Amino acid sequence: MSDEETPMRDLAALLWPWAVWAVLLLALTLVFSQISPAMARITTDTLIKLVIVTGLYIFVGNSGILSFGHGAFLIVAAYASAWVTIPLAMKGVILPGLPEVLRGLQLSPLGGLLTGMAVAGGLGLLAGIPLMRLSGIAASIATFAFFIVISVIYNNWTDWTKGTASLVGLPTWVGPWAALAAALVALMIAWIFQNSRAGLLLRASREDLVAAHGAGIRVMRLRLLAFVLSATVAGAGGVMLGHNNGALTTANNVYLNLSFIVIAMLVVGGIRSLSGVVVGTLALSVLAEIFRRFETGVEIGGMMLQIPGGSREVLLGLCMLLALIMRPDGLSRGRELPVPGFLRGGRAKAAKTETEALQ
Amino acid sequence: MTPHLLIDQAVVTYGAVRALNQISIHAAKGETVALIGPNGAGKSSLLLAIAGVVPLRSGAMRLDGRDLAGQEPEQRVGLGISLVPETRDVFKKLSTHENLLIGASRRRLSRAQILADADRIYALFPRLAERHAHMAGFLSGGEQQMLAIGRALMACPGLLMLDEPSLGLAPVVTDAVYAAIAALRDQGTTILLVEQNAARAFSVCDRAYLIQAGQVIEEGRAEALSARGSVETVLFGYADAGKEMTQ
Amino acid sequence: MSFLQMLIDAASVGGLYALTAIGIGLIFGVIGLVNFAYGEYIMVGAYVLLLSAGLYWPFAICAVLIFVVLFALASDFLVFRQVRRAPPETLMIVSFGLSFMIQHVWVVMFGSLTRTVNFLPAINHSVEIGGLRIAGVSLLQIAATVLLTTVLALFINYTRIGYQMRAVSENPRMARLVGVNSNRVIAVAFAISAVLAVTVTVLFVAQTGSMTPFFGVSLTMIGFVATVIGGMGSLPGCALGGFLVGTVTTILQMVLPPHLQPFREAFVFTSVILMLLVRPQGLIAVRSAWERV
Repeated sequence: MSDEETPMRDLAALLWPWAVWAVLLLALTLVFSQISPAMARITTDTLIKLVIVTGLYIFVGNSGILSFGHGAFLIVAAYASAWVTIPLAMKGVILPGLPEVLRGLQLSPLGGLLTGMAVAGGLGLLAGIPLMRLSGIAASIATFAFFIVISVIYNNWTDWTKGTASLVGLPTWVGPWAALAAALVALMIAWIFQNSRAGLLLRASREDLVAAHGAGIRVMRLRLLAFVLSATVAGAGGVMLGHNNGALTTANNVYLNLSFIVIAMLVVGGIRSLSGVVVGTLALSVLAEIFRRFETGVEIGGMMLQIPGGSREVLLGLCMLLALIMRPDGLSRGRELPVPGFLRGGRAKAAKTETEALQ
Repeated sequence: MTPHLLIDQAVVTYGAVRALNQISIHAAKGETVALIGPNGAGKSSLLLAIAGVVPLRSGAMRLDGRDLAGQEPEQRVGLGISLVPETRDVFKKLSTHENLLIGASRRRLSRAQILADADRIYALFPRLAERHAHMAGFLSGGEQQMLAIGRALMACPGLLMLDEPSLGLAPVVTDAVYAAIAALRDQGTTILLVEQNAARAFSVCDRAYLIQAGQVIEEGRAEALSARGSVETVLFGYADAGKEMTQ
Repeated sequence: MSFLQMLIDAASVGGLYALTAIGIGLIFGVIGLVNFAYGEYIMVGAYVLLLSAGLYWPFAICAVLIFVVLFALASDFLVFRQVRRAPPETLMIVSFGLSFMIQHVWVVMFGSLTRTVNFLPAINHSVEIGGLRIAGVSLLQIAATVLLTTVLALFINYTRIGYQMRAVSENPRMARLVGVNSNRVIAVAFAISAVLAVTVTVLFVAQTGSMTPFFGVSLTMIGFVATVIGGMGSLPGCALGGFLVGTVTTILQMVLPPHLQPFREAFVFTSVILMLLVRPQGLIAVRSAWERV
């Protein structure tokens, strides 16, 4: 092998797992978005969830701290984007309580997306500075309390959010392809972060906080970095949710249940690997869809099978519990896709053993 | 006659590491058996496996001919197996007295009978009687060791396993602990004693196994083993070095 | 006079919160589980009251007691025992999943709309003591809290299961090595937490007369806040935390201007974050519960 070849091959080896998932997702999107408009919607929805789960994973997978607070980033990002993208004519009617500056502002969808991500990232920074000092279950509880605070505020701040009523008029620009693009970018960001110096150091600290401190790793700073990045990516998912539905509401604990589903997807897939993110999201989305079909009635061999309304959530909850009980490390067991032999060079191998040693 | 305790070809692994490699030992009723060997030889793993907190990968363990496979640790206590672990693990936030009472968890006795048993432990270790109302976390290392042994005795064990009972103790305290072990031996309790201090172990045991890398490399009566100098070879890698220790 | 009135209101609301907090704190102390499904113990009990409407009230309460205790034991046996060795965060998700599932089972069975029942209307009558008008239910709440916490404290400190419970909490492996049947001890802890839940159910339903499959969530949240403030795993701390949250909520209700009223919960949960940052061991320090983490 020549010397010029090695860096290219290393890069290919590094990107291999991402590339495999990208091709798979592309193929799935191609097939399912063509079947029917209903399937296209489900595809979009799944891909958006994938963005959110990936965002959550960037923090949880690398720091080892389970955040129950990412629902807050979905909320703030979704509403921020709504405030700047709802058409001017409607905004005056729907949200008369909005300040003059916002009421006169209308940005492109991309502007809305970036606004939402910026707000989520900013909130991540503000909340992260105190929260990142905590570890273990204390951190999980504090992030959960943070979520409740944000959700109570948005629930009751009706001048701006309409609370439990619906905020309508969001341009619906999100379709399967936009969602796919977002998911691929999110996965790429997560993959790069996880293999970056910061990501590796943070993973090392996950295993032994004391030793990491002893080795001079500034754990709080790394955690904060991961938290802000994670909030930003999750925020992108929140924005897309709004622009997929065209409406936002805080009624019926939607964000609480959504946070729970998203956390469950991550945990069922396996908290410790990006492959777990994809596997968990796809698995639970497929199950949810199957159960939804059964709720409306399915014909099997001339027999009409129908389960009572509402049992979809029951079955979904049951599947999650079973998965957690039988595979506590997640479906992926924390492993990434193996890199094929022809891509494994000397340096890639060294990097891999280094990663394993850190883990 | 079936031995009281029989370990046959036991294998214990932690991930890729083999802590016990087809080890076989036995102990007759009332016998005091020492397990001697360097750090990491697998002595503690063997005791933990017998107590049931570490699973066997293969092999068998029998108590009075009865297979121990599938018996939970708390059930084994009911069968008469008690372990005093190396880390002692007294319940720091329970009083000394409660630590003793909890040792009788497996026995269906009246409160009066349990209290009578506790009094016997206090007679064995008078230091504990003085401190019966203290939180165990405030006891000294030696007192915690006495309490851990007393707690194990409260289960009325047929087989008492002691892991490094003299570790980190002052010589005077070690003497007290060994006096108690000798007394138990004389009462007919079967004892399995893990000890680095071979001289101490030989002073009370009938028979000893030398263990290295998860296997028995030599077995015999205490006097025979110390005469042959095998102990030094196992513990220090060459003969003679430990002569002073064994004298 | 209004200050005294407020004090009694705070004590009665706080009592309800304290009972909830102790139910959650007890389980956390023993096995390190933040049990979100605790709110569902309260919720399912309310529906048993709904179904037993018309029964003489002591029978109705007995029915609730039996059902909820069995329900809690089943949740331990079928779910939590299966993941006993998982880290606390995983346990938290499992309990969240269980809570979500139970709620939707109840939606399937009873619908998601509010159901009402007229249970023990007599206790809502007010009594006058020294010029103060006090609702009977407030007095009951205070009495039940005092009684149950005292009994529980005696139980944990002076009975055999009590010290076994403390031993399992401190060192589960060693507890088994001395012969403690930890599964039984944990089951007792679940049964006790169910009894506390039933008390909350009865008082709550008698007071409001209404229920939905989701009403347990807000009570769990509040109990959970009280638990954190008091120091998880410390039972006196949980009781104190409950009373504190009750008092703060009552005060906020009085002093906050109307347009800020809806944000009351936000203030309460902010205090949780502050508490975890400033004094993570809670008001009453119990190290062991946190050292397991």
